[in-house]
Parts: sequence; C-alpha cells; structure tokens
Amino acid sequence: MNNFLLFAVVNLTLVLFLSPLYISVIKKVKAIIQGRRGPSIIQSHRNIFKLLKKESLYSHNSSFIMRVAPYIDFTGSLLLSLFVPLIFIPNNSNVFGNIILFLYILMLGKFVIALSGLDAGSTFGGMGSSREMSLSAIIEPTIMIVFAAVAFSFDSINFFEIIKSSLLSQNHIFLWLLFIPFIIIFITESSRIPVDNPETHLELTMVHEAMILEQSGKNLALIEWSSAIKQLLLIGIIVNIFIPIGISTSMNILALSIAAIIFFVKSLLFAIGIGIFESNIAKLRFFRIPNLFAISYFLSFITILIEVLL
Amino acid sequence: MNSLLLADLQKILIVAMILLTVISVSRRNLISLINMYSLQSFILSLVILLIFFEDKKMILLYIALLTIISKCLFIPILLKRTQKSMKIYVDLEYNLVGPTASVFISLIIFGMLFFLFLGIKEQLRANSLNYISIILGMSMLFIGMLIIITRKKIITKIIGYLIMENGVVLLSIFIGDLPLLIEILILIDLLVLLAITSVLGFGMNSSVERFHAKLNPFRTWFEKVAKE
Amino acid sequence: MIYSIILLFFIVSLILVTITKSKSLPNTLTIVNSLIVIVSSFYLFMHAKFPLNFLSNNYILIDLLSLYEIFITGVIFFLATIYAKGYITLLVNDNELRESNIRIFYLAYNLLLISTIGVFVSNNMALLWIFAEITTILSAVLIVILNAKENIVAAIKYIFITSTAMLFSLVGLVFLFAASKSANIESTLNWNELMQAAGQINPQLLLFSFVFIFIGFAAKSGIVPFHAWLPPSHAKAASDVSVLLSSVVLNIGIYAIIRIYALINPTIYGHIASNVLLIFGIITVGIAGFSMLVRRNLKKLIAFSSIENMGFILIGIAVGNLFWVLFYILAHALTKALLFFSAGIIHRQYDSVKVGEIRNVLKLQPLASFGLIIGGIAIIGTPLFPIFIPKFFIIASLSKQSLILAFIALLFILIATCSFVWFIIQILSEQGNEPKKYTIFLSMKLPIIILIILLVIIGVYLPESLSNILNLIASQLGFGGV
Repeated sequence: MNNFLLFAVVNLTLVLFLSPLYISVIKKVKAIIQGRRGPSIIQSHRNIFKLLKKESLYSHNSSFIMRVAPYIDFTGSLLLSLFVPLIFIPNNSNVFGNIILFLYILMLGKFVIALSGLDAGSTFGGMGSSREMSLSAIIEPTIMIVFAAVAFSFDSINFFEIIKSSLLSQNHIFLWLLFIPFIIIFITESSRIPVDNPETHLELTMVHEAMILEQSGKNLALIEWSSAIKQLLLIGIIVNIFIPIGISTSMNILALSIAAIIFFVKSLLFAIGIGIFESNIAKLRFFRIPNLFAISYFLSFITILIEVLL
Repeated sequence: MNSLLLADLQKILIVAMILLTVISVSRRNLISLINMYSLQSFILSLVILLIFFEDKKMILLYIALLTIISKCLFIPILLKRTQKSMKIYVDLEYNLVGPTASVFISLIIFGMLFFLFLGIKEQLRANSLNYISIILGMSMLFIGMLIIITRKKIITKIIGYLIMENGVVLLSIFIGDLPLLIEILILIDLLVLLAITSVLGFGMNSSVERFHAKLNPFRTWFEKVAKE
Repeated sequence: MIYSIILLFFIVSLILVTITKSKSLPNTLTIVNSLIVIVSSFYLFMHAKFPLNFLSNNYILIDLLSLYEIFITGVIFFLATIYAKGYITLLVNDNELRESNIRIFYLAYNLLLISTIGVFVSNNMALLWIFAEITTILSAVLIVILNAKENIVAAIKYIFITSTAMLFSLVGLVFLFAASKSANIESTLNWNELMQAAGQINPQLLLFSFVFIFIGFAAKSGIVPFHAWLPPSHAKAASDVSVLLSSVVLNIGIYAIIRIYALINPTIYGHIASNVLLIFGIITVGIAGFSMLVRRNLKKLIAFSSIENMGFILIGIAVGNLFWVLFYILAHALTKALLFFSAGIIHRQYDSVKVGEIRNVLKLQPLASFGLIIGGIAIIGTPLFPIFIPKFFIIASLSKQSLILAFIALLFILIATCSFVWFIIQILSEQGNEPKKYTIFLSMKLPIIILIILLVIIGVYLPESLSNILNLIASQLGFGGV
C-alpha cells in the first residue's frame, strides 16, 4: 500500500510537471535542424499556465459535452499515469498496470475529444473528428497485436511485471522487432509527423488539431496538458520496455534519484531522436497511413509466432 | 567463439532481415528498393560468415565474399544504371493488391508456412532458431513471387526475383550442407540477370527509332497548326 | 575414348561457327552435329550395356530413358537444321533477321543441342537443374534474335516465369538432399542412388520436395498455371525455333517430372503425387482446349495444342502407363515439328499467320497446306497416325481408375480437337486476293515430306525393337510394362 502510494505521488508529480517539457524539446530540435533558434524549452509550460488563467468561450450550439470533455480527458490521463512505471516499479497490482485497461482509457479520452469536436457544429471540427476516429479504428487491431506480442514475450499483461522482467532478463533480442511498431503507435497516438502535423495552421491538413479548434482557455489548457501527459507516458513505456536500465524497484531515496536522472536522460534522448526523425520525413498522404499499420501488424505477428516457438 | 553469442548475433541478423523484407514489399521508390536489396544481401553474407565461424568450412567464406561482391556491389550498380537509362523513378501501379494488402498477404504466407512445416521440423533436424531462419527463407521465396506478380515495372520484378534468390540461399544454408550448389546458383542467377538487363537495354535502345517514328505525325501536325 | 572425340568435335564446331565467314559452313556443321547424335544413340542402343558411367562420382550417367530422349532430340534437331538452311536465307531476305546475327543463331543452336543432351545425361539432379537453366537462356536468345520488339517482351516473360519456377525446384532439391540424408550415410542428389534407396527416404519430406520440384519443371513444360510464357514465345519466335521449343525443350520438363515421380511412386505417398499430377494434367488439357477455341493466330493455336499435349502426358504419367507416355512423347515431337514447319512456310508466304490474312493457301503453297492438314489430323489423334494409340491406351488406364475423370478428359480433348479442325477449315477455305507466290527452298520442303512419311510409318507399325526398349525403360523406372 505504501509502495503504491509512493509510486502514485512520484508519477503524478513527474507527469504533471515534466510532460510539457518534451513537446518543447521536440519543437526546439526541429527548429535547430531547420536553422532557427526555436521557442524556449519552457515555452509549453508558459503556454499552459497562460491558458489556465483565461476564460473559456462556448459556442451557442454546443452542449454539455464541450464543457465536460476536457475534464474527462484530463482525468483519464492522470489515471493513466498510474499505470506506467516511469522511475519506480511498485509491487504488483491487478487493476493498475493492466495493458488492456490502459488502452481503453486512452481510447476513452480520444473518444470524448472527438465528440467535443463534433459538438460545436463547425465543419472543421467534424472533419477532424472523423479523420481521427477512422485512424483510431484502423490502428486499434494493430495496437492490440503489438501489446499482445509484448505480453507473449514477457508472459504477463501487466506493465509492472513486464518492465520488471525486462529489467531482470536482458536477452530479448526478438523484442526489437517490436521497436518499429511501437514507434508507429507512438506517432499515431501523439499525432506527430508522418501521421499528423501538430504545428500546422492549415485546417485541411489537420487531424487532431481540427478537433480542438473550438476549445479555448482552461479547456484548451487541460486538453493540451493531457495530450502532453499521454505522450510522456508512451515515451516512458517504450524507453522502459526496451532499455530498462536504471529503473528502481526499491523505495530508497538514492535509488530513486539515480533512476530519475537516468530516465530523464533516456527520455530526452528519445525525444531528440523523434525530433530528428520528424525533420527528415514528410507527412504521409492520408490513404498511405494504413500501410504503416500493416507493417507494424506484420512485425508484431511475426514476433508472436517466434516467441511462441522459442 | 561462444555459441550463445553466435546465437544472439544470428537472432539480430534474422530480425534485420525480416524488417528489410517487409519494408521492401511496401516501398514504391525504385532507388530505395535497390538500396534495401543490397542491404539485405549484405546481411545475408553476414549470416554466411556467422555459419562459417561455427562450422569452419572454407568454402563458406568464399561464398560470403562472392555474395558481397556480386550482390551488394555489382548487381545494384547494374540495376541503377538500367534504371537511369529507362528513366523510371517510382513504381506506382499495382496489378492486383496494393502495398498494404501485400504486407498482410506476406504475413499470411509467413504464418501458413510456419504451421505447414511444423510437422517436418524434426526431420529437418533444426533447432528453433534455425527453424525460424528456414521459414524466413521460404517466405522470402513466396514474398518475392508476390512482388513479381503484383508489380508492373520490370525493375521491381527483377528485384522480386533477387529477393526470391536470397531466400533460397538463406534456406539452403540452414537445411543442409550444399555449398557448391549455392555458388553455382549465384553464378547462374548473375547470368540470368545479365541476360535480362542486356536484353532490356538493347530493347529500349532499339525502340527509340520506332518511338520517334510514332511522334513524327504529331510533329508535322503541330507545325501545321503553328503556321496558321 | 570415342566420347571424348565426339566432345572435341562439338567444341571445334562451336569455335568454327563463331569465327567463320562462310555462309553455309555453320549450317553444315550443325547438321553434322545432329547426325553424330543420331548415329551414336543408335549405336548405343544396339551395343551398349546400361547404365553407362562417365565420371567417377556418378554425376553423368546414360541410361535407357536418357538415350531415348537424346535420340528424339537428335532427330528433331537434324530436321530443324535442314529446314533452317533455307529458312534463315528467307528471313534475311525479308529483313526479319540481321545477317550479323546468323552467327549468334547457329552458336545458340549448337549450344542448345549440347545443353539439352547435358540435361538428359545428368544423373545428379543439381546438374540437371543447371543445364535446364542454361537451355532456358539459350532458347531465349534464339527467340530474341529476330528484329522485332515484341520478341523481347516474349523472351523476358519466358526467362522470368521459368527462372522463378526453377528457384522453387531448387528449394525442392535442397529438401531432397536433406531427405536423402535420412536414408543413406552420405546424402546425395544422384538419381540412381536415390532410386535404390527410395523406400527408406522419409516420405513426408519426399512429398514436399516432389511438390516443389514439380512446380519448377512444370513451368518449363508449360503446365497450367505456369503456361503464360508459352503462347507468346512460340508465336513470336521463328518457326524453326518454335519447333525446337515445342519438341525438345518441353521434353526437358517432362523428363525431370518422370524422374522425380519414379522416386516417389513406390512410397506410401505415391498416390498423393499421382493425384497432384492428374489434377494439373486435366486442368491443363481443359484450359488449353478452351483457349484454342478463340485463337486467330495459327502459331498460337499450335502452341496451345502443345500445352494440351503436355497436360495429357501428365495424365499418362499419373496413371502409371509409362510405356505409352514415352511413345506419345516421340509422336508429339514429330507431329508438332510437322505443324510448325508448315506454319513457317505459310508465315513466309503471307507475312502473318492470322486467320483473315491467309488466302488461297491450297493453291499457293500446296505442300505446306498439305502438311498442315496431315499434321492437324495427326495431332488430334486420328488412327493411322502415331498419336492415336497412346491416347487410346492412356484414356483406357484412366477410366480404370476413375470413369468420371476419363469422361472429363475426353470432353476437353474433344473441345481441343474441334477448335483445331475448325481453324484449319477456316484457313483453307478462305478465298480472296492472291499475293504473289513465294518460292520456298527445297531444304524447307524436305523435312515436311520426311516427317509425313515417318508419321505414317510409325502410326501403322510399331517396331519390335522400339517396343522392347520402351518396356525396359518402364520397368527400370518401376512402372509396369505392356
């Protein structure tokens, strides 16, 4: 119990205060590659706090969904942060850490945001919602198979156990077949290039941004924050499953601080890598996106076959 | 060398091979296809070198060197030159199935072969890792055939054929000790490829006169219109 | 001793063909080469003890089946070379072939002869595979040698489909190699050793390797669904080359299928292999028959008839009636040669072989049209011509196994027959403007006359020596004789 409380506190603090940093890091990396200086590292923090102080405007045609959706989304993200061990693995829990529950709470957030996009009655909101939902529908079996492959490799469907066993046994070479599918899922869930451009200002090319076009003030802050949290959690999953060095299982202060520093370094490196990757690649045509999903499906399925055999 | 380390290296190479194969099925850019093919041949020769370290037969070393020279250097250069003379850059048309569906069909192929050959796994005397390599080799055979059937441009078809051949080499390394046959196979395929590309080059050059002859009526019509 | 002399002569003639400037020397040399093949195979039939061994590791071995096929090859090459003497000159006159390419033509011709013999004498299945690939490339060169661009497309299709399928049979050979490890102390790909140990090889692995090897060589023989290369290549190539393709190169695939079927026949999975062959054979006959209905190009029609006959041979192998299958191979080779020779003359006369453009052919080219009529009657299986008897006995054996399949096969053969006859009638009855009569050299007419006489003789009288030889071959391979 104590264990889990510590874990909850640590994760929530990390997630709340650290998550906007990664968005800025990726933007800064892309800017440097493009030859600019880019926004400052804490610009996302400043954006969110500025938005929190502003008032939310609602359109006349909107219903209660638009008022409630950001809160549901944010709460969902905070709940999700209890599922993924970032620097500390607590003792096993049946409810928290379950992969399937994780996926569905993720989907729940996306679902209510999509509804809120439709709610204001504007065309761009509807367009963004339909695009986002179709992408989600296509990627859902892929996500399932990828996580199933991870579960097959580690014989468990709980994140805590998975990362713990990844920490203990270092010889999972075939797991790296899943690296590309995980990257593809990360890109889709955090709406990055090549699936969706998070910095576009042209409505016709938006997928995620179009849904939140009508939001303003506190609601917008909450939505942006929650997508930053989701991104950090996904980074945490990828980095901790594939390179589990440094994550601590004990409540020792020293171990925790070392684990924090190592995690910070790992995730920053990953974010820089994502920034470089995004600068080198163009946004895909919408109908070419299922191709990416097919590749990740293929790789995960083969991993399952191999893991079953070996 | 430590056999566990060899097994790990083999696993890494198999992983890389799987990745390259699946990406080759869905790429449309011709130059990237050729590059991916030469990378695949390079990994194949690394696999051959790995087996050489285990079995210590000299002929495997020669085959690895031959593979590197012919397939990583010679054939890609030949293909790129042909592609430049034919002036095609992207293979946009698909015959029956698009790139996404091709990836799924490759998956089905891999799965079917996996289960089909599970029955004779003992007769092949292969441990699990070798079995995966054998199945990978055989599925590369079928995936290469899939590429040949579903693409329209001839350079992609040639690359499909070469992927098939890579699959056969991978397969035969892990099933039995047939090194001489593999070497002859490489040479014969070089011959076949040379034949096809020279015929292509010859054909494309010889059709230039007919192409101009076809264009000529348009040119005179154009001049007539321009005069008015 | 004498074999090395023969080999030396082949090599010398190859070199001479490459460097000579004379116009008639290459042809004479090729005729001499094929005559050597015929004479030496006769000699070996009479006097030699089989099997003949050449190398110490059993890679090259001549047994009766190889010798029989070599004999057929030699006869067809001989007749085709006589035909080529006049045909090449006509092609050059019509600007379909460049004079500088004649040398390449004869070079590829002789090399094709040598590599085909190489296929038949290889005991090692891998060596057989290598020679088969070489014949693919050489025959593709022969197809491409004409000046047309469509030939390039046809040749590329040919090389692609055949080489791709040969990769499959290579996989099958690898499996066979692994399978033979289970029976012998030392694994081998030599056919005679495999035949001796046939009972002890793991039947499951053998079945897998059979299927893969069958795929490869079936594509070489033009079995559906790997037949897509056959009609374009036969139609676009020079008629001389089409003769070689139809009567010799298709035999290579059938030869390999017979060899590998003989390995799997005595095992417990033999009936599965037989069913596979049967299904493929019947489908081939069916599709070829239906395709022949809509043909307007004479050479494509004859090509589809080749596909149909190859399917029928597969049926014959599947029911185990090897005696009549071997006789059918000989009869088909001769009849197809007759058909293509006549088609070649018609092509030269009208510059096309399509239905609408062949007019008054009986008046203009009586010999060619007579050859076409006799060849057509022969190929559909009329009595008095050699194809009738084997067809009859093979269908009889098939009906012993399954009456329904025999009826279906008969129906498909009937469709093919009707299409062929209707086509010939269409061509012969077309009247209209007459183009000028084309003079055909005697060297082109001679093979047609020889073939007609041969066909009638063999159709009526089966020599005792031939029947003994065929019986021996059938029993050597493990099938019953007649």
